[in-house]
Amino acid sequence: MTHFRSLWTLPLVLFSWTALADIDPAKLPPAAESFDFTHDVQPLLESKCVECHREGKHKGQFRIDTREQMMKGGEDSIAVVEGKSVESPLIHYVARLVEDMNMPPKSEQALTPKEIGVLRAWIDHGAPWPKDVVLAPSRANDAKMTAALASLPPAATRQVDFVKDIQPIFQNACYECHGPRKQEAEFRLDHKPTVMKGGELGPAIVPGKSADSLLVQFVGGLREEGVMPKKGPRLTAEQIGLLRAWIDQGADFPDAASVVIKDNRDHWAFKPPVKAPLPTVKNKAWVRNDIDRFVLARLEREGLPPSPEASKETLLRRLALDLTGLPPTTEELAAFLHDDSPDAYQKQVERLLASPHYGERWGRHWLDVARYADSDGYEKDKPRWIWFYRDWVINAFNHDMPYDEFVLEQIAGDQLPHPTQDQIVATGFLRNSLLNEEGGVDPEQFRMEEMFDRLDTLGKAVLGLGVNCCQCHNHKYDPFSQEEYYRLFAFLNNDNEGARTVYTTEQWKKIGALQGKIHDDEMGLQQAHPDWRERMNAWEDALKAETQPEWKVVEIANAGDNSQRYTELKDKSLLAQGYAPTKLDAIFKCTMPTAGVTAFRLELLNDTNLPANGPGRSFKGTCALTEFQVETAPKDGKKSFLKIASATADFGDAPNSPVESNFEDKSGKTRVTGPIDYAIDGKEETAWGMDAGPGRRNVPHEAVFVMENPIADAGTELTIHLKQMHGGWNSDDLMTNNLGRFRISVCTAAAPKADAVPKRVRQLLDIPRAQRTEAQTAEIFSYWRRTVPEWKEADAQIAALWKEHPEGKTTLVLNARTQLRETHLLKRGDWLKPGKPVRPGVLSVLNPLPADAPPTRLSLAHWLVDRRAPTTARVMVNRIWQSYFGIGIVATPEDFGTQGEAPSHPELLDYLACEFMDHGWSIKYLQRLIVNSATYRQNSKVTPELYQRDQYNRLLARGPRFRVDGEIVRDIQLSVSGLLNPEMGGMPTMPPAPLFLFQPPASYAPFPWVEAVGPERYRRAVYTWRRRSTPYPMLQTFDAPDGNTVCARRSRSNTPLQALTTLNETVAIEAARAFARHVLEEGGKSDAERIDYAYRRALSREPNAAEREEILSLLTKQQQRIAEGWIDPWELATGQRERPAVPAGTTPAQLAAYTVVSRVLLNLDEAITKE
Amino acid sequence: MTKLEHFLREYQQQITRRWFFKQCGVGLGSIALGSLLQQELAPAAHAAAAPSGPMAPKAPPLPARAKRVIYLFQAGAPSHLDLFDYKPQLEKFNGTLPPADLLKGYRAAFINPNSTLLAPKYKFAKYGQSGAELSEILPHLSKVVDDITIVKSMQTDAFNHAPAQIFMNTGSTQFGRPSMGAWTTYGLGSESQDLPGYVVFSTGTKGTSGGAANWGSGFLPTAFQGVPFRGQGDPVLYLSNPGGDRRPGAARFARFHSATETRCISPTWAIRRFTHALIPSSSRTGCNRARRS
Repeated sequence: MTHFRSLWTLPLVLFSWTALADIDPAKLPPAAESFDFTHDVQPLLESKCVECHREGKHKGQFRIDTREQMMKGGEDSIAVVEGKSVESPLIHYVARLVEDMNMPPKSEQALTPKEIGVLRAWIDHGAPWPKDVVLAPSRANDAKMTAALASLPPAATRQVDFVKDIQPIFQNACYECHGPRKQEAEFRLDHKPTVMKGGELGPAIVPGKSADSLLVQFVGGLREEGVMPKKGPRLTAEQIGLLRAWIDQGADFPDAASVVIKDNRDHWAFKPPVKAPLPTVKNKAWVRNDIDRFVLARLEREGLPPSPEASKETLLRRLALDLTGLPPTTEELAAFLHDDSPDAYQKQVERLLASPHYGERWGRHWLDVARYADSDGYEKDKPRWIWFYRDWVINAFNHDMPYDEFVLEQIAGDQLPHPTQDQIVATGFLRNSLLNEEGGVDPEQFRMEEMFDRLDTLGKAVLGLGVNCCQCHNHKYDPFSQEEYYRLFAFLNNDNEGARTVYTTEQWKKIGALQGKIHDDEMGLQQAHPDWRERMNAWEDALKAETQPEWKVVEIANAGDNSQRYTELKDKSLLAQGYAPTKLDAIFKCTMPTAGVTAFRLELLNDTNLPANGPGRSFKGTCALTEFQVETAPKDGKKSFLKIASATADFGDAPNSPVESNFEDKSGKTRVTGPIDYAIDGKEETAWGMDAGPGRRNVPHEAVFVMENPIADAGTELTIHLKQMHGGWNSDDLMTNNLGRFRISVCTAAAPKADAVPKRVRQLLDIPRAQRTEAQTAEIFSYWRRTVPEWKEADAQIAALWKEHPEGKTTLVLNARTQLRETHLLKRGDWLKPGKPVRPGVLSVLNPLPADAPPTRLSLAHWLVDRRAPTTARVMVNRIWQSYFGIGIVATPEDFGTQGEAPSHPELLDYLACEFMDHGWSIKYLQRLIVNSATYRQNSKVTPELYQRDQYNRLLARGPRFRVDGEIVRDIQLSVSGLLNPEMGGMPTMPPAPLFLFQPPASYAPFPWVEAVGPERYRRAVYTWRRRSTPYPMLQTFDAPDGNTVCARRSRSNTPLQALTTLNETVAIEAARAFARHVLEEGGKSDAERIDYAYRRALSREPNAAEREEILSLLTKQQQRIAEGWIDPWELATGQRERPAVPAGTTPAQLAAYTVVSRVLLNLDEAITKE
Repeated sequence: MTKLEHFLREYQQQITRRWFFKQCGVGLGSIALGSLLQQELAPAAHAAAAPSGPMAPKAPPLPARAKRVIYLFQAGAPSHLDLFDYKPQLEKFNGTLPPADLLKGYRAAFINPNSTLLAPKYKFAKYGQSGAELSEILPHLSKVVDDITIVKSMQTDAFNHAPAQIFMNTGSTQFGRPSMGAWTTYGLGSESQDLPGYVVFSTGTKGTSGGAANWGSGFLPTAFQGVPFRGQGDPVLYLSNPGGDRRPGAARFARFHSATETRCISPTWAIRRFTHALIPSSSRTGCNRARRS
């Protein structure tokens, strides 16, 4: 890690890593007037510092026994800044101003202010040091020690045996802190080399000299550091005597009694994968590709034969379910069965890989690790819009985006040069963290929680390592330190977290066309009026000649008790965060900075923490101000408000604009927004609105409120009310309409007005004319032309075009901050206990970070997908393997560390990882490799013997056979029944679900689950709305993850609830009914034909004779029961007592009987199993 | 056969309890009973097929005295300061501002600098031999106070509802950990192989903050997650047959399954075998190698 010291020197200056910022120089004792090194400084250092910071004992990698060493500094930083004691960390430490870095550590040894003054004077004078002087621990200490040694219990006189006499003492008294689990002071007593070498304090044992041995001094209570053992009873005199005798007799420690420590940095997964030579196998005929060599070599070693290839029917079904998550249609099945060409199978592989459903199936795998969900989580669990990210993932798989790019864009797509919308959308990956906005949260606390979640996700999803363990402490088993964790953390800690307005491709096309038209219209104006430039310049000059009122920003402090939180930003504006009430009277205290204040200005500002950049908190980044009031000291015990004479604003909604449906408050009142007057009309139903429509709404605004009477005195304390009553009824939904970021200023000019010129235009006008680009001039023109009275008609035409602008949606993204946050190590992972500051860095056991890498997410992303990254490729190929074979080559896909499972086929894993990287990180390449292998194509039959031998099929002597994932259970039902709506992407859907689940008391907050009707009801399960606190029950029952945390491996349970779900759940029943209809319509004329057809549709095979017979008899029996009146055929077949048309030539009784048959087939184990 | 004859025959069949439990299961309760009865009637056979799988009963590390755990999580209940946890000092400082050094460095959103301390709202007295202090609003509990344990040694710094509730139920304020019930069933299994070992009821006016994660299985297998029960309608989701059929064609379905005996053995199958008995016979899916009698 040492190379970081030089690496970060530059950023140190650029990004002001100011540990100094926290130090108040006023707290330092003053420097002494004079000093003498030999008389003052040397004894001080020798008695207080050198003991621990010298050759052989450099605590904190710091030595102070020579000047050279002292100037080098320690592991964290330099210690002494020549000539500047105020900036020298050493002084901060001895002055005990840095928590956790008090020096000397023991408070009774603390330096006196006078002593600190001496050190300061010495440093201020350049820390002079006589040549060749090497400091040594003070002899005074030695003398004390000699006296104390006499008090040690005497050594035992008999011959001691290490194993019998000594090891039990260590075991009872020492191992807890100096043993296998903990090595305090880097010392352990169960390991011979460490015992002999010693820990942080140097050698513990001097063989033959027990009194000189630290070990004895510690247990004898002679050390200043304290007595050992720290916990539990002290050693008895007899035990100390035995220890002494053992040491005096030569400290014999038999090798056999020592533990053997494996260097955990040596672990296989921390070394980059290398292709091993292909193994030779006997049964060469079986091998289809290199995968098979590795698998077969192992099988041959175990003496197991591979299984024969599965039947064509089974293979196609397996392949279709694996690659697209949908079973083959009867036509696809027939085509494959009739295709006798040698590459028939490969053709199917290519067809399925090219299907858009491939992305839906494999995208879902990534969404598991991305902990994707459509709600915020925690108590409110509000709806969340981030499905653009979900669609990005699906598209990336469909286009076979190379995995390195795929990761890169998700971590830092926004930091690529000229990022596209897609690349920015991709950063939603990290934003999938849960967000707590319940009343009373501290937004910073839950931002930190999100950070922990992101580190966890990065660790398990990309690195395959449990880095999250280091939130609170060094990893117990893997060589990752807590500090390294926070160094990774520091890469991610520099973002604002808002949402960005995004558009679909179709919408972008429309926007392009619109902008073209607007541009044409404006060019037309320019051509028709060749003097436009002169006129515009004249306007500009006149504008600049106008004197603007001088506004003075006032500090405002929240004085309300509503639970919205406000963060004060550098420009004194407030950013509203946390809980967002939908109706509130926000009140703020302020003091008039000057006499004669005539008016208040309210600025609404953009912020990348807000939806669509704000300036409001609504789902569109808008807001509404119901009333602006200024309260003064109460009169006669009553609230007293100052009268506002008039108000102006740069923009306002058209009068009487009805509020959006999202802001419906169930009050029954007509609530409207409109011009700024609405904010001073005293009416709760009216508000100033500033929604300029799609494409133009998310800009800053300002309003000016002129007081009837100036406020006479400076220092007057006032309370500003920003009443915001135009949100909806449910604060647990997207119904807030609050101000997002705002600022108040005052002025003393007479009757000032709001600046009608937009802030953006003002900024452009500030650029000298000659330096403006054409685009900038055009932007100014776009504003100016609106102010030209005779161009009204053209303006109306353009305004009409803007009205056609598509309404985008927002999606959560990362917005990199220009000012980096300072990241601290958090003690015990507690965000309220920051420790020392850390700089961005990576896990030292993995590939190094380039020396010139800037401290950005992009650097981190490049590091993750480096060709030398030991785990990145392995982790991805392992997860892909896992989804085919049910279990990965490494069974713990989230943990490749020393506690993870060893790979079943290590060479195969590395082969796949290298192939993957060598072929451009192409996932489809990897898929082809796997599905074309003989290993994959084996049948899944298993004998009891083989089952006994290899229950989990780790040796791969047979094909995979598993119940499919929950989403595919649903997709099979939809597909077989013909209900499936194959439309891709877009807003998540709400298929039927028990509505009570989304209402209290099942849910904390009411959630607007509106059951979809029509085709939307039958979209693939990947599009089902994922609410974190109320997982969709059908998917939850089949083990779909809840999206709360990264899921690298789904468990596959088998519970009765699953049977109940496939039998009785609404969509399952609707699927059985629709399936029956298709069987009757398309299945042929006879029952036998229809049963065969139903089998092909549901199970991709023909029934055998016994099965056909059984189903026939079921049909007969059902028809009989219908005839006898046990079954209401209409109700069974339609769910209602309605009587829609039955398929031509069939009867309601047949439809009902086939519904029963369909339900049976869809409930067969085989229907939801990949065979 | 007329409808009446048919009905009578079926009615007679119901006379045998065993038939009823075995064949007419519509709810998990009756199924469980059916299975328990089987165990009761054929103890030898039962012993031979000791359950395996995630819910197999496991011996506790210490002899167990408790037979079952009923855990009431009463979010939104009155404060412990008004029920079990008498704070005389708070009484003393009622209405005053908290000492500055108490709040130094304390960062919590609701703390208004002008908030004063509030004394317990009710009178406390000592009860029982243990002398436990309870407030006057627990008059009945005070009579049995020697039979209960009050744990006062727990503390939290989880300030907000959702993290606090997740903490209470899973031991961590971060999501992703197994809930107490999930750990319990993981560690002890379940006496009944036919019923969920861990069920959850949610009552009151609002649900738990954080929802399903409060009874989730976290990083344990999903089989251990709590099964929510409802107070009305079907106790468990999707128990009821769809409309139109007045009696499930149970026997037929079971026979069909034995006819389609398949050749599969897989880890899932191995588990499925033992969950099989849980499923109402009308709803069995999967390959049924060894037909149960």
